[in-house]
Amino acid sequence: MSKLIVTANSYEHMDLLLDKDIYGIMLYIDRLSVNSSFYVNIEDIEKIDFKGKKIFVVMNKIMHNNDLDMVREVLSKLKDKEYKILFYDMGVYNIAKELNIVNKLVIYQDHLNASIASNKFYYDLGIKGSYITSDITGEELLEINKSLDMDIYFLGYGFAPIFYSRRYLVKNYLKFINKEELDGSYTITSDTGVVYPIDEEKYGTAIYSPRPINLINYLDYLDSISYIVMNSNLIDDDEFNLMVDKFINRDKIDSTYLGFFNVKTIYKVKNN
Amino acid sequence: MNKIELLAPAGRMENLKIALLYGADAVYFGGRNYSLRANAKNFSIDDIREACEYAHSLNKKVYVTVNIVFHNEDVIGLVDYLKELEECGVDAIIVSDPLVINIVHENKINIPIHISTQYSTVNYEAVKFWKNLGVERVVLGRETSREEIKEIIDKTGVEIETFVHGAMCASYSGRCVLSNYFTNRDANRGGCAQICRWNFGMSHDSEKLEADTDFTMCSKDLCMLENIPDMINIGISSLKVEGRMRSIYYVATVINTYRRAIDECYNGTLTKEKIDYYLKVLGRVANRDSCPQFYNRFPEVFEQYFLGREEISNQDYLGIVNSYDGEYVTLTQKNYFKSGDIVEFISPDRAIIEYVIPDVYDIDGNKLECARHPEQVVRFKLPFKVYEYDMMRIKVK
Repeated sequence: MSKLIVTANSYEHMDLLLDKDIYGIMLYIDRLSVNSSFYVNIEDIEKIDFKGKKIFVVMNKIMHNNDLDMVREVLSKLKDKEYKILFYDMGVYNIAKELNIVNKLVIYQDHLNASIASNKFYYDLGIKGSYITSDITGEELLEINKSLDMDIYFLGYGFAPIFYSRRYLVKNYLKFINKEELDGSYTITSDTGVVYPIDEEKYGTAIYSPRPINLINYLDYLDSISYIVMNSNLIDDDEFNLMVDKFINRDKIDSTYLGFFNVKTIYKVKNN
Repeated sequence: MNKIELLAPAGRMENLKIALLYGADAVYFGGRNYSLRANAKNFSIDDIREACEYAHSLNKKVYVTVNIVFHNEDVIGLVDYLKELEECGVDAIIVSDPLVINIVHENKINIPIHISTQYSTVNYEAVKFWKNLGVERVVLGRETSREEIKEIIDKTGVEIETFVHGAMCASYSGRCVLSNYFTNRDANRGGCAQICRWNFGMSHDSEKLEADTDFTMCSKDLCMLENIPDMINIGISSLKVEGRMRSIYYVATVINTYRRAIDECYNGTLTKEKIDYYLKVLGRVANRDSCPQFYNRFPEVFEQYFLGREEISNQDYLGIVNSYDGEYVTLTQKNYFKSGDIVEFISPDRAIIEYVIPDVYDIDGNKLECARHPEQVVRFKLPFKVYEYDMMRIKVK
């Protein structure tokens, strides 16, 4: 049976979640991660009572040169911990290899890591876990899972990141139209009327799927997947907590948004 | 130190030949499969063989993009395809999905590997990682600054390729699947529908922002011409021009302009006046504004497009030379011109020649009031020698 791991929106929220029957919690490291509403410092992790739950540290930023010292510092501090480390950038891998902690790594690349053979590449490097992108179908996911001896992570609930820019796209636009940037949430709407959350972060701008992906009705189907992730980013605490309970109880819900879980994308628009 | 490479896009064979003729040291293109421009004409294996033979006969290189993000079904046939590329004599493949590296190594396929910008490699530790796997070159993410590029080169010694001209992704390359969500077209498998250039309404806390201008992610194009001397100085190995879907006129003009600037930089004749002129030439052939983006400063409002980004079709390109008989030039007309117009002839390696169009005739010798039919073959007197593939354009002022 899959283990449930979750993210939190704040320390208070995390405290509530840790009381639930979850397996672990994902903690996004400040300055080294993106796509979260809640970031922590590595020093702070030491002070938290995790109530026996496992810790999954996230460092999923595309690293620039000036991030590397901090990457090294954080990885050094994690060397003797039991935590798993989810990462995006191969610079992180290179430093982890130097520190001899590759066995802690979980490759977490939105959009890039979508096949058995791609995952085998990372497996051959000694990386034993892979957080698979939500861009592939459930069928493809299960093929990857059964073909490799890797711990597979998959988003079961939450907004899927679908775009990440280094630019401050909201700030630039608001400046152009002479409006102030305000607290709260921004969305964009295309001609089709579909609304997409857009979130400007410290290191750029993210756009997310129009609704939270929700695979609650497929938990039996996904039973062989090691970890089902529930991501609270952009979701109200109460709404998220309720859904965590439903996932724990394996409730069913009438209508859910599945993203590409059952939909294949088109490779070629026309034949040449 | 090797001379910096000028690398040109080639969406089809004609573009490839024009790019090499007009000064590219190497070209890149995709095959019929596994390449990110699924809607470019792209190259069959026979085309690739012909391209390699042609480029190598000029002592130039051919790189083939194998840069999709593979799904399970896409891997079928890849080994055979890579072996065919090896057999064709391809000088390198450009890959973004590292599974290709495994396949190349496991099957002992002898083709150098370049890491695509799609992987968004932007730091020296990541470059060292690729180096340790035997990768020959890394195409850096377009989000790198001059200082970052220099530090990467200094600390790794790996061949570094950077983009110098053309369209920009609004996102980190590879980290965008807007097309998947908006059109079901797979952005990382060649189906990018350029959603970042669409207009959107923006709301704050569900309340629509009232504004005359829509939100867009659209960025201006990249133009690094002014920075060529510096890019040479910091040790970049290859300068890449974007645009596999562009016209031959665009390719000829952009490549030839960069060729001249690079050569003049090396021989010490690149002046401020020449740079200003080249920027004008590039500005005329572009359909969007351009700037250096991340190289010298962090892009803000100026580097984006919110207004006036209509993509204007270029009317400067008047014709391409078919032949010259010592008195008359025969050319294929591309845009309207008439007797009395001031034009320029551009060629791969000779100075630009200004000329006033005399009487114009059709192929049967009938005098024309003007040349108004695209693809019509016309003739007129010319007192200097021109060659096949020279081009005629409106004079750049």
